[in-house]
Amino acid sequence: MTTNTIYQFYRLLEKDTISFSYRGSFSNNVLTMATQLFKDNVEERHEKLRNKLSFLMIESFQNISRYADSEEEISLDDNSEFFMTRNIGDTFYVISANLIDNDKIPMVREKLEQVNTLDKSELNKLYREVLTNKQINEKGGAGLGFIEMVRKTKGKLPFDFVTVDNKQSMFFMQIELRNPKIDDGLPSISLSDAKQIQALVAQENILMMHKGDYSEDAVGPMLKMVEENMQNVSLKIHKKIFHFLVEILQNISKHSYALNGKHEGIFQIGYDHKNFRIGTGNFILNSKIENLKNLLNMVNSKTVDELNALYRKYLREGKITNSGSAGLGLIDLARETLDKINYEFIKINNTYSFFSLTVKF
Amino acid sequence: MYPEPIIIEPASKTPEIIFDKENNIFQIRGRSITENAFEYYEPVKYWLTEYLKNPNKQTKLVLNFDYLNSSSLIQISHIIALLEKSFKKGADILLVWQYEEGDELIENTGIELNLISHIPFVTEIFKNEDFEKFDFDF
Repeated sequence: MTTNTIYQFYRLLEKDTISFSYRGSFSNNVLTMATQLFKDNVEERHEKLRNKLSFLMIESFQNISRYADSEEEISLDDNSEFFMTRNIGDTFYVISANLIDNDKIPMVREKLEQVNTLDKSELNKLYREVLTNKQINEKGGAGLGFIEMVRKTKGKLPFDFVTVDNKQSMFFMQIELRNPKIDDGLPSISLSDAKQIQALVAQENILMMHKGDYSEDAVGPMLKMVEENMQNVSLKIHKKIFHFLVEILQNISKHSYALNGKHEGIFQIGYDHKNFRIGTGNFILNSKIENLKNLLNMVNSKTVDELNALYRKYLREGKITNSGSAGLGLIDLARETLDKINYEFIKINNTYSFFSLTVKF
Repeated sequence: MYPEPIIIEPASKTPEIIFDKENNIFQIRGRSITENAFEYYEPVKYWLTEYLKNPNKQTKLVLNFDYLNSSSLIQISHIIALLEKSFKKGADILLVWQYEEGDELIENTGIELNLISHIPFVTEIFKNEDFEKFDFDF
């Protein structure tokens, strides 16, 4: 994860109103929180789609666990599973990817091809057949999940298998849910987009990524989600990540440049077998860059002892500004990060720039 | 309004606060990560200022946070400054800083507040199971 890749991700997700992706070990907890995240943040005009979206997220997610073979304990930085939900225009996408044994591919392919070619009444017929029939395999699916996905979305299920080695492949699938009342006229996002994002997420060791509106009240559900998902990380690290995420996200909601009334931003949590990283990106007015740069350079140039002294001085003086803590949060961040605070400003136009930041714990 | 006690229920981003002169209970517990810390703590500081004009025989303030953002920390430093002023005038004040076992961030914040303040200050470790967990619902 670098300040530059944060911008690359931002560009890949530029059209997304909200997007959330998760890589690594899956638990129902992640699912519950991801579902909640979308439920809370979906715009009012999509109200009717909320339940359907939750249902599809659950089906897709459970499909991963159904076809994933790994019985072993999955580690935090495992690349075997990936889950993503995106809202672009008036359409929602639910993307899943997981490792599958190569010998199971024909069976899965056959089921998917079947549901992708059937019309509505044929699907209903198949649905009833599967429900009443005994053709349930030991994993409990018999493709009912796929049938439901197609019935609920009235669309096709794009899928693909990307060979990993002679034993396993990565199985990608995408569900597309359009709002039947609103036609945004946008073309569908192709599955290759999802594959590109998954590959980059794996390459950059990103565990969790969110892009969306970082206005004050949008931050809450996400923080809760991060907190829930960090439970199996040591208390010390978990507390640190949560603590600084609060500071950074609140900074974004306060100081970022709002486009169309939204404080658009992206955040990532990464883990590279050793250290955690938090990365964020947001827009900032060009006129604010100079001050922020000076502040960042100032804290980056100081030793931990100097930062401690500065921190106590600020605390002692107890000064507050409109920003609430007059740089106290930034000093705190600088002395806790294992590295310097890495940052970059990428000029977008004469008014604003993209500001990205990474810190390591 | 003072002298009525302040009793504030905990919420997703704000802690439980009890400032009760009659029962001699002064405590702030839970999570303080609100963006609007100044507004949140303003009435508490006002109450405390009034109370410290004529405080109880002993005043023990218990602070027990699981998360504290920097803008809340500034407000806590203001509260400590009020206590310090009163302590210097002869009031019997004790600040108890509690933190969860293993929570270095909150422990260190306590150490720092102790360093910058000049009032009787004790730190206490508490185990998570002793603590009835608040159900934070964002």
